[in-house]
Amino acid sequence: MKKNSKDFFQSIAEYPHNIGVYLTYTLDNEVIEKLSEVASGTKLILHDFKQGISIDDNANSTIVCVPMKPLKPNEKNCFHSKLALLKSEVGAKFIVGSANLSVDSFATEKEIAIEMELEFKTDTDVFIYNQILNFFEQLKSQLIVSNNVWEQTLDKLRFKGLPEMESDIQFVFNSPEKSIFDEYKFYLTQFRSGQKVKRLKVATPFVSDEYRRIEEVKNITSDISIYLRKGARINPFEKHQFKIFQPANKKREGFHSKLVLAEFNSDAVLYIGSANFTEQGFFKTLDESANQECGIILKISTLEMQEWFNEKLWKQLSAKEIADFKEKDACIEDFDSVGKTYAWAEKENSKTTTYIFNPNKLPVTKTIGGKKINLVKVDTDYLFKTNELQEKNQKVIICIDDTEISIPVFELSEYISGLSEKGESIFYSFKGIYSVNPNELDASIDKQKLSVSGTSGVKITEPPKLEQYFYNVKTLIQSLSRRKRFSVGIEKEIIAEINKSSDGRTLYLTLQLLKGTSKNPKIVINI
Amino acid sequence: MLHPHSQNPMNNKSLNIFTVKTVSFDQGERDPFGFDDFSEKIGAEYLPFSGSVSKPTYYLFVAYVNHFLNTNKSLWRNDKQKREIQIRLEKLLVYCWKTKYSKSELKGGLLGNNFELSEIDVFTSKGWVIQNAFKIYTDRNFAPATLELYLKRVGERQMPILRDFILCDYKQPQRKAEYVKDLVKQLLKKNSLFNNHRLDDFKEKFKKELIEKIKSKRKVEYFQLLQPYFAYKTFDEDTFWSKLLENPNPKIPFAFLNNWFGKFVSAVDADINRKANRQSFWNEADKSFENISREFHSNSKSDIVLQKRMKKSKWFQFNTSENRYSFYDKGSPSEKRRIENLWESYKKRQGEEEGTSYFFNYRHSALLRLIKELR
Repeated sequence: MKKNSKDFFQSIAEYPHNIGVYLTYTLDNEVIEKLSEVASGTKLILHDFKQGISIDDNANSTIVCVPMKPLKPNEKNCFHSKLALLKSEVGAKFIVGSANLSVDSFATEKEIAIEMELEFKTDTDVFIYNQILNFFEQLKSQLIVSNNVWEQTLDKLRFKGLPEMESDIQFVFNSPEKSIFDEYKFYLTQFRSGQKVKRLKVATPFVSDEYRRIEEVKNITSDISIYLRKGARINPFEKHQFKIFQPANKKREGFHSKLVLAEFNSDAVLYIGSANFTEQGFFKTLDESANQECGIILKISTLEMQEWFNEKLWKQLSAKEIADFKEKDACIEDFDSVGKTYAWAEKENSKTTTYIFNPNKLPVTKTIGGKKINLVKVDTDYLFKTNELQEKNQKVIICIDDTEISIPVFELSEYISGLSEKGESIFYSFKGIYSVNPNELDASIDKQKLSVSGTSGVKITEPPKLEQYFYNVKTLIQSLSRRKRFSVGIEKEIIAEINKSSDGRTLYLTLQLLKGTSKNPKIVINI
Repeated sequence: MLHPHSQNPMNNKSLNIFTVKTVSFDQGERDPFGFDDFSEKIGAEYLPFSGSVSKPTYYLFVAYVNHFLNTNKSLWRNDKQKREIQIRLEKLLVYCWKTKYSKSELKGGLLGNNFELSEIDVFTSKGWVIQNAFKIYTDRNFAPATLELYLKRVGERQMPILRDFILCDYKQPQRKAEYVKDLVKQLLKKNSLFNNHRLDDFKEKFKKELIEKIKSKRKVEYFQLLQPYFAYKTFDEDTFWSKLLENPNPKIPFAFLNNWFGKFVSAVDADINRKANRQSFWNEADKSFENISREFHSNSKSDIVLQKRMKKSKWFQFNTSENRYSFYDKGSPSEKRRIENLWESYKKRQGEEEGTSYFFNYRHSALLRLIKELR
């Protein structure tokens, strides 16, 4: 990596998209607010179930926070993936790295990420997108509360007709059978078979007490460097003769990046993602109760990460320093075993259900000091629900242990329609001087009339004022045809427009769509 | 099939590895115990507007722009574009005012007042202060009746002008300058917001709505304290502060909270500096805590519950056996220095906040400015 620093939110803002899916361990309201400022369309946030928050605001039910757990949850593991996937009409963009959606990640921690735009013009793009969707399919079994949100969002994320491809940039995640380490070794075998790794560099802010598969790591190469935070425990590596580095510069102090870099003669293989170099993160499979992790593995030039591992920024500990080392905070990977209380409210078919994550079993009442509310257990001893709380002005007021909180009601149907509509409406697709107001268009057609001729194909003679609109529609059709099919939302919108009335706009649009997309139009139009 | 001989992926231009830049969350540095958040939420329970800015004109302007956006949906497609239009209109507003008034005439709570006229490019949303009118109001329909009156008098007629302004896309500087000159001329008409930064023409209506909002917010008891200031029978700034923030009535929480915050911070500071008489600081703090009416130990919109020994703290750890706070040892000397500096500036708040001698003013600085401007 050359010297390259970027604002995470800027990266999201610069990619126009309709749907954003965000995976995180922790989250904060401030970050959600910031996301709302920069990200268009719906925002679905998957987070660890112990790290949820009661969100402050949810305009038009465009934001949904979904608690997740690892496949085999226990006291030590968590949902730890960190990913942003943004989907537009014609492509997608992802950002994968070490940053959670928490204030600390963006205000104090030192994070690293990789971003990539996918236009589906190359095998790589198609392959990576499919890998991410496979990952999302796997996550279905890790939802605590099953509802339509994830399924409907997944449906909207699918681009039909994307062929299965392979690529040397891979999106990876741990599964019931494979760990991130297994994926990394698999990559080295596939793409670097027969070549000797010269040096392995590992950067990890957190470590494990023990490493049961350390011999397998040593089989990759004998030259292994571990980059740790100051104060991190080093004895798991000490007896293996690994080189230990600590930050020698404030640029690397308190780093949160997770990197594994296998260097060859002329290039290198990099893992960048959410997994710390720990048992729970890197080495275990989901069946062995690992965290849920993800990341990217790719080939890079050796120059690419030179700046990050720049020797001026690190100090190698001498043998004496290692022998004399006294642990400070130890940096042992450890996750909250209980978690903090939070709540959310969902409305479906005019029925409001309030969910309360309440691991400490705090009393829940409608008013301060009021009668306790009956709670139904949803998941283990943590999550409960109730239908006793009524929504008022799209909020539910609830008292948890003498603290009154007001939570916005999330309307499932609004979110689902938002998946199709937000920022996607065909009549508002063009901005600035190129925009055409539908009402102005109607008026223009009413005044100047459309004329249509031809029987085998469709020919349209439009009034001169409609040239811009014609151009807009053509561009839209081109982008739609690249996508192989209309999205459900646009299909619905077109059908609604056609059924609504016989005004000029409907007629004009329908004719243009027929002309542009179909050789054998199936829709019969009475002109 | 795999493609072992494919090109180096990093040649792919859409791929980029980057370190994540630090981002400000417009919340300043969070205070260590959550008192900022707590006091802001308590303030919101009494006063219906944001404490950040207090020019009556902005309340009308924000409502007007929102009305403009809702009736011109073809101009924007997503939140980002909507925001760009909001900021351009805000810039235009300040541009018009600055064309008409001198800097000294505009002083006092005017956003963007530090910009020279020549620095304001109304054709783009870029180059503007981050905290703008659209971020600071908690209630978008703050004064619906005022908006209605404005629309009737001049607002509706201005809409097509503003629509053209958003759509225009002149490239040549000369053409741009001519356009803006003509635009400003059109907007600087009687009753127009763009012509008047003091809300003169709509003051009475706005004042009535503001009073109603405050009344509906909280007990009559509290409003009665404010009423004389709205009635202008008397306006002594000192009594304004003492009546509200030093009020000995336990139902008005501000004095009791401020007192405890101050004492608590002094006691924590005594802990950190290992002062010999630190226990006496804590005795005073605990006494102040007991004086806060129980109903104000938490509030409806915040999950912060006040406790004698606040546990929530990013900067400090609390040692229960010693009954003492100390800085977290984060390992890094620079981080330690940073936190120590922040603590020093935090301590200074007591007595230096907004020119008053209170730890927090619970939005009353904003109220004071509003009342002054509505006189």
